[in-house]
Amino acid sequence: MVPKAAAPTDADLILAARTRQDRAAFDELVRRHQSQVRAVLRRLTKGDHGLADDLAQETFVLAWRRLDAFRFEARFSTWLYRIAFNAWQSEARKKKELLLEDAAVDHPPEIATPDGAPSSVDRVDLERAMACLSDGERAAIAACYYADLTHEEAAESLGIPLGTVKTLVLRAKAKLRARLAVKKEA
Amino acid sequence: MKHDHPNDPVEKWLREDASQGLPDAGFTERVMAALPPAQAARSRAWKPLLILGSTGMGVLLAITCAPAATAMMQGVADLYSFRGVTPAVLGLGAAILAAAVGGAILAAED
Repeated sequence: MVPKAAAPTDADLILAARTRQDRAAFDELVRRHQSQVRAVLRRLTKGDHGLADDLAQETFVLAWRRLDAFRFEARFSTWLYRIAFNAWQSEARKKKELLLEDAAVDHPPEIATPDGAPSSVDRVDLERAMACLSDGERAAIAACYYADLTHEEAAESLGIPLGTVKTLVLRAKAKLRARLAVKKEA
Repeated sequence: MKHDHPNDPVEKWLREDASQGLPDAGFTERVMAALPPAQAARSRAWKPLLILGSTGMGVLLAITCAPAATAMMQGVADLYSFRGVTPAVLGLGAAILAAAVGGAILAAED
């Protein structure tokens, strides 16, 4: 039996796409990364799936145009998230002033956390709870959990200090814990 | 990201939610249909070269054909024979500089 050829890496596909304008290679890159990019944007847009998919499409089109600028210094997915965060920030600025760094960010979260947090929550409840977070908190959670970035990568992608990212994540988690526990009790 | 508190229920919910993949449902096809044509992408690399090349050709034509050609050619002759910075050399330099700056600005627009 002939062994099956190994699937091309992201780097192979990127090189094919940018040196030969190979659309099939870029098609494969989109298929590999669409799920996470769209999931991140759905969290950032408070569950607005239509807007999230529009921004995800804009992200991949920009990635295609700027593929020459990718330097292989970071993961391709990290580079994509940076474009996605910028697209979301531009969109959010059109509607209102985006506030990634909250004024009270220097203080630790002081949110009452009910005992007995539920063992599981459904996706809709989590989506609603996420929608109640501030822009900065939601962005930090999306970057660190949905995009799977380190705190340092998240700080770089979002353009905010590392300490702010850590505080935003802590505060967001405390808020989510409190909100979802209350929801379960109700 | 490494999770500091693996037993934290919020971390568990977030990890579970993030691990649920989204079906493609035609998304990739929509992206591919929205990409600019490959020819346009390729021509982006050639555009600055074409603009700068045609600017250089324009400068050559101006030097040889324009009414001020005599002064321009005098500038070239002065440069060739190391006569220093004569008015003709200054005029020639200014013409080339203006054309080059214009070409570079056009090329950088893309």
